[in-house]
Amino acid sequence: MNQKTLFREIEKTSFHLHFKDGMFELLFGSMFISFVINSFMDNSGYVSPLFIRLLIIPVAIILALLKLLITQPRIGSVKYSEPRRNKQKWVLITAISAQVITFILYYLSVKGIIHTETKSRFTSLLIEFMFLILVFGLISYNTSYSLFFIVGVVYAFGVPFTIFLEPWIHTRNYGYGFIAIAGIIILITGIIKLLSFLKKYPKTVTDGK
Amino acid sequence: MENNILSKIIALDKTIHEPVRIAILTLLMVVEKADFIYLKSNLQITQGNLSSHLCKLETAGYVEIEKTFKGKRPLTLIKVTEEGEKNFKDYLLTIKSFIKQSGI
Repeated sequence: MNQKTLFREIEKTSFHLHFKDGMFELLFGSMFISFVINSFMDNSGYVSPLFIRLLIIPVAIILALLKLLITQPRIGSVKYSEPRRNKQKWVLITAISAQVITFILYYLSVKGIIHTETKSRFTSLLIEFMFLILVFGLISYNTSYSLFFIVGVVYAFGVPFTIFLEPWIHTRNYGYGFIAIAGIIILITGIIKLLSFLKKYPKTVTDGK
Repeated sequence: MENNILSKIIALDKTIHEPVRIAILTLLMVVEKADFIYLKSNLQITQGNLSSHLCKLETAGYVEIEKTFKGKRPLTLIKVTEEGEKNFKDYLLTIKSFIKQSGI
């Protein structure tokens, strides 16, 4: 292993400390579970209460606060080198762009400007599938953290792929079941990671030197 | 040739040539600056141990320690100096050539 490789490996390992608290697993696990509850209620003819639909917002806020109050005092703060900061910028740009594109497409379809139902259903589902894999794949590549790619794959196979198969299998429940199982596994992983993180990294009382 | 490498080994920088200090400098080389807690959590060593090694590195001029505040909380930021970076790279190169010549 040469010097550059050694430093790159050490930088990556030290950056991954930010993921050891399991907060992202808790966030995505909760997101999957609330998505499945919403979808099941909608498909069964019930309108899910607003708080279940918006469950992900308080969960995200609580997790952000936990990250600030639990993780940061335990692992400290750091200013990364230029290449890492650029990678982080790209992650942010990718995530925001995906949100903006999704919102625009949703708005256009609600307003009836684009008709996804009447135009090629196969094409739109394929684009949706590729979009999810691509966005989460890019984020995963830039953070070197596979969870993001797993999330993309679960969503891509759980939603567009299942909708595509619906005319043949006559149900979306397999897809939702797949998302629910993945969500529970990811959530449990997050809880285990958080507990072991709290045990391994106790809060430092003073600032040292 | 061999005598040359042996004399280089004997002349290794003693400030750097200590496991914890090698780890500290390696970690500081890959970031711009880090706080005390970040070093402690990454290295998994005690506060006292880290403090004493940082003191030695600071005395040698290999790291720069900046005491500041984040809100009301004290914050100790540490970064490797140019001299520290150069000497650490030289140290690694010496070790590298020693290992290379040993044929392992």
